[in-house]
Amino acid sequence: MNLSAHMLLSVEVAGAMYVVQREHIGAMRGIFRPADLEYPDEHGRPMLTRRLADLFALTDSAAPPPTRQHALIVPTRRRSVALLVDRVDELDLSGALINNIQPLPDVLARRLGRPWFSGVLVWEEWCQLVLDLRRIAQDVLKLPA
Amino acid sequence: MVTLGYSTDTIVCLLFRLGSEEFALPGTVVREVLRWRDPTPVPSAPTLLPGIITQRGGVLTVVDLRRLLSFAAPPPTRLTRYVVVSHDGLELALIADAVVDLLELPASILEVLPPAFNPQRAQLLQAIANRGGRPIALLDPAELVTTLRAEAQA
Repeated sequence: MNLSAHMLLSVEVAGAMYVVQREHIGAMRGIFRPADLEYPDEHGRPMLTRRLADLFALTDSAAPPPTRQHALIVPTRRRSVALLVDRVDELDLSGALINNIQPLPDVLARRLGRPWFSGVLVWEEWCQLVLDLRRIAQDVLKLPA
Repeated sequence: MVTLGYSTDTIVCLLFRLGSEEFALPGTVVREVLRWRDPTPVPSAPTLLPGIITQRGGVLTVVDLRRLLSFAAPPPTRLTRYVVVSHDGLELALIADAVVDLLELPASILEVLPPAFNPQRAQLLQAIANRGGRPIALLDPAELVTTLRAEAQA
């Protein structure tokens, strides 16, 4: 088994922490200014960019505006989608923690307006939502500009 | 007196408070009571289900009963608790403004709900009891689970 394929990253979005699977991400870029978003993806296609905080309707009023963001570039068949987050950290390089991911309880999963979570990472006494970046990217392509 | 299908003369119940009103759940469905900790919120979930918590390696859906029963939902205090219930394959962490006591309710003091009772609340209740002049509403765990599952499919 290629463990690195199951590597998990921790991302921060408007003060909330989530988990993402590295294998869903084509590339990552630091974003310092708007012009940094204008680069095409690795296939030369224009990227569609969205802030995850906006997609999740999250605001962190206590935090100053970020001076730097990170683009998680998720390739799709049509074009790449750059999802902006405030911070990215390595959470599990070995891939072992992927076995701790449980499905969202069904009664909750069925009520979500945006079913963008592939599960819950449970580790000791804490749990974090695992983002389904591929699903988010596909849905972003369908959203009005 | 109302017949609820219990085989004993008394029903062991967990008594808890939502707002200023007292509710009871049959002890047979109550797994444990937990101190408050902030749930992990799930974006785009309804306010009725404000998030998830983990307990003993499992994931529990938090249910804000106050939203379901049309109560105000003030922020948590040092008295706020989760009442963990398990029924028909569903495990839930119900938010209670306070947990009062574990008590035995004599089946003889359980009464049917008065016709004028709030219909939204009545749907989730089995009976009402009068204990020392204070009404206690006995929640119906089966109806609670059915309601949550039905809303999930809507």
